[in-house]
Amino acid sequence: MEPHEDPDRATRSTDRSDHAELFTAAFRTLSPSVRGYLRARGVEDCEAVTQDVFLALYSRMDSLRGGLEGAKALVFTIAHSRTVDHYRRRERTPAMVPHEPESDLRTAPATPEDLALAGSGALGLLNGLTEDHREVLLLRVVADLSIEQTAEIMGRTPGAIKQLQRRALEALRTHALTTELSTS
Amino acid sequence: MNATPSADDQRVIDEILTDVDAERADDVRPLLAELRSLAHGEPVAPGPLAALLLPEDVSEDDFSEDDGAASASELPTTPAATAVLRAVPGTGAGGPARRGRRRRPLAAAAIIAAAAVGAGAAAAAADEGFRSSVNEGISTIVGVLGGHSESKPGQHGSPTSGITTTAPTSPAPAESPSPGGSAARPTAPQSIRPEAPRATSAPTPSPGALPQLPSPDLGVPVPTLPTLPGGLPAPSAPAGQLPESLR
Repeated sequence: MEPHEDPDRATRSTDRSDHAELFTAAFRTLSPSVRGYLRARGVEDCEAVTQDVFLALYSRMDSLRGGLEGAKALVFTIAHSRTVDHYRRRERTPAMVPHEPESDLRTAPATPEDLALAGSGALGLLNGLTEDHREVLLLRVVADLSIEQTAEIMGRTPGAIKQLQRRALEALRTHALTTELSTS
Repeated sequence: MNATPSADDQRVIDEILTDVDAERADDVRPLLAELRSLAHGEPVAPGPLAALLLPEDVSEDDFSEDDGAASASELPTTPAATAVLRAVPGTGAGGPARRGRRRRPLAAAAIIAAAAVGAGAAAAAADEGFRSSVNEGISTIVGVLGGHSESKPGQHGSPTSGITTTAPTSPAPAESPSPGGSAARPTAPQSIRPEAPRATSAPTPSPGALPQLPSPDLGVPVPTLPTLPGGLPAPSAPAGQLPESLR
């Protein structure tokens, strides 16, 4: 499911030097948003995974079309796949780390005390959302992808993405109102 | 929190809130602006591998997101980008890999030459004639270094010495002497004794004649030489030089 790759490689008009410059521009432009996307998805060591994402992009530069916009869609497709792989791997091999309460970012279902102590940052806004709601908002807001591109990445139809986005916005609004009421 | 979203951030938020009514949109707008702040920040420092793939700082203004494929095909080609691509193995010429490839023919030629020299030496050592000539050459060198440079009886003279000699025993032309003719009696062996080699380094035959080997002094009479054509007097040794037994 990577529609941004050109099946007819013989018709491409870019050479290796063009690919190098496009890759450089994509790294400079998209790496902050990719890191933010991975961080919001809870990926550990998001810096290293960002590097991995762009290395995977470089290996596919020959089949890339669409300039920087096509590179953006392909980069977030790879980042989405890396996130899915991260969660699958974490399910199989639980992390064996010493418990440090200061750096423990795991959350339980919100209680009034937790909501009172929860931060009001951008990452805190996504805690109360489901996986799909969080994913569609991140792809639409952080990655700045279109409805069609988001549908391709998530494997759904554009209509389903529109419906999912509407529900995600409503859930975010409800979550924010709940947080505001609990802190006031 | 990003209090003042940029125009690009405002565009993104407006696109998402297109289908949302105004009252709900006003509630969600600051939350989306806060989410949008995740897309900004310092560029990620490239790792060791990514640094190899980043040739130079290319401005994002060089790429128009509206152009699509056309913008990628119209990108300027810079030498720096090509140079970094050359540094990546398998993407171009240059670098240690190419230098290694350039040395391979030289190393192969050196190995082949060494093998050929070794095989030639083995074949030459197996030849008996080669060994004898080497032994002779070594003995000659040893003789020269030891002060015995003059030729000895029984030693082959060098026909290419170029030194004229006064050998008294120049061979006669091919004419068989008649046994009962006017051939002179056998003369003394001293008449044909090679004395010239003692005076010269090596006897050099005249052009067209076979080289004359010096005869050893055996102390026995030798047959007389045939008469020289043209009425030349045959060399004869003086009687005083004959040994006592032959008088």
